[in-house]
Amino acid sequence: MAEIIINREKMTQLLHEIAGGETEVFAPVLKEEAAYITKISQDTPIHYDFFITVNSVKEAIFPRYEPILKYKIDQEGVKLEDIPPMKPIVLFGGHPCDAASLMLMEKLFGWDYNDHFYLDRRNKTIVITLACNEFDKDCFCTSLGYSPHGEIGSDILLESISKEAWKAKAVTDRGKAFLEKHTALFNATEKPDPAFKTIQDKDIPVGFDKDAVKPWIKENFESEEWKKITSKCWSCAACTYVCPTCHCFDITDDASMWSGIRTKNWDACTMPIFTLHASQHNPREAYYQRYRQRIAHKYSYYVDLFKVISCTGCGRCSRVCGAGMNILEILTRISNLAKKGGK
Amino acid sequence: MKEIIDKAKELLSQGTVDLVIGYEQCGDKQCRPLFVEKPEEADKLVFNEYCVHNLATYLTRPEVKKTKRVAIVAKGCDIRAIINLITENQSTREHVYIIGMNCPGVISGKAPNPTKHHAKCQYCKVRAPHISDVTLGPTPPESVPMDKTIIHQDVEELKNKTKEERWAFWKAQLSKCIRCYACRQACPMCYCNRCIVDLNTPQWIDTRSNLRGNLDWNIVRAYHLSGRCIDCGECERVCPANIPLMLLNRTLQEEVKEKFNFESGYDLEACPPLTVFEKDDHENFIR
Repeated sequence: MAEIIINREKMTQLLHEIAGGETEVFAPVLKEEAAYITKISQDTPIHYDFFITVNSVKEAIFPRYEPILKYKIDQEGVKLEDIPPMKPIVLFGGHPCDAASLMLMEKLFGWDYNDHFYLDRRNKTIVITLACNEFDKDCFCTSLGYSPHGEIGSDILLESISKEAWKAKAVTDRGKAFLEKHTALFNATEKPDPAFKTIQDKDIPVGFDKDAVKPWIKENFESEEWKKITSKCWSCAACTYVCPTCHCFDITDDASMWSGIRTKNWDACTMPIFTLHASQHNPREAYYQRYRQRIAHKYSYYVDLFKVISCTGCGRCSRVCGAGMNILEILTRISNLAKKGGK
Repeated sequence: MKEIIDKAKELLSQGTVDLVIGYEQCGDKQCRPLFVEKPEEADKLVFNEYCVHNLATYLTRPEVKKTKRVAIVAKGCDIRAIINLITENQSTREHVYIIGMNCPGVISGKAPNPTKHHAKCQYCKVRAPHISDVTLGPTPPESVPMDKTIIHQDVEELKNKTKEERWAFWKAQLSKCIRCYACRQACPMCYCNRCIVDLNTPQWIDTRSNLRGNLDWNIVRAYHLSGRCIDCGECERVCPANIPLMLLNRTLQEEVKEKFNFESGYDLEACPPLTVFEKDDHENFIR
């Protein structure tokens, strides 16, 4: 079969065409010198010259806030109003670490209760992923068994053959159908540029032993080490909100006398109010207890529930942290302590 | 470098302080906060143009408040924050040992490739620390008197726009806010035990990251900083959405300077203007 090639110009044309219809399109957009995965319209400029977006693809499928119930009250009583059905989504511009995160999130949202807001949207999403051409000191996908060319979670994987063009590979049947439907644009004639460099798995060093982390956390919940690791953390939610696998949310009501909206909002275990009881007691009062929760949830509790670590090594939390917390460094420290049998 | 390390070791080994908060290198063009509790851990301490963080934000943390005495590596601008915390009774001069750094200016911009010189450094009046227990580092260059029209060009430009243009600008900017509260957590002046946005019975500030919630949050924070912001720019630096928060803060600080002839963080004896009543305060807002 001939290789399927698309270039930037045709990709822009394709995404703009789709955005003009009933489908929502998410793609990287340049905002104040950085790229963000953003919902685009027919004329939004799409940004291609980026290494990794600041935010993750989760924003497309698990929005920052979304109404889950609307009602009105009149003389006859309470009337529920319909929430409009989910629109199909084309999600372009994540890397393999982003796509892999979607498979991790599905487990949670389809666990003891089917969260149809997440699952409906996920089932209607075509994930078009860009294999990585670059990495930085915060990347650690290979430590978790993922790859900068990984296919997990993608419907279509695009691998660069030159600065301007990609070779497309259908990973799923949905991806195949999408390529066939838009075959008129996936027909670029660019030839591979031998000078164009991409990266291989071996370029990203394996930083730690992922299987050593959970047993250490289990045995060292009260370790003084947590306080040392987290001393500089200032307990905001930047890390959790850019994380592709952090999924906690809060439910709030916005109501007047005669109508109301119930909304699902992002929430974060790193913030003090997350566990504050009505009595004002807070089981996670100290900074280190909250950061420990973030690590333990991903590397221990999630593994207990779903047999998989809830982290794909994208490194976004490290890049965004204003206090310089670095998750790769922390996991490496834990893994090294585990090997030495240290507390 | 060596003089900071030596000073930290001396303070810790003599028991003058039980914690030193300073900076360590964590990349070619990146530094980050470092907590040093033992003399032997002090060797990592550095000070250079990438030491942009305002470490005074840690002073109001419960764990740091519990220390007998804490030493903090501070640039002049960070010392402004320490002084403001003292005048607001959040710390005491006795509790904080200020390792003041002579500072030629720091680099702003996002890691890992910060390039721009921080705007605040161009008109900084405290390159040589104004209050400290010890001052280290080579004598810094003379300060340049502030020319507002050059330095705060962005504020001036915004002021010259129409109301509708300003509204469109802020709507676009604040829509980007994801409500992570990195601005609040990095800010040395945001120390409330319970921030108004965390008061939820009832929920005063909408926590949804929609335009209404984002406007509520960012405007409330800006107002709470008026006459208190010390222009360190940390909120803007740590914002994952790159919102130009200092535009709001600078505008309000200029208002306070004009109305009350006050700039925060220079004088230990000062009373913050919005917490005191003076007979000759402006009353023309009462109608």
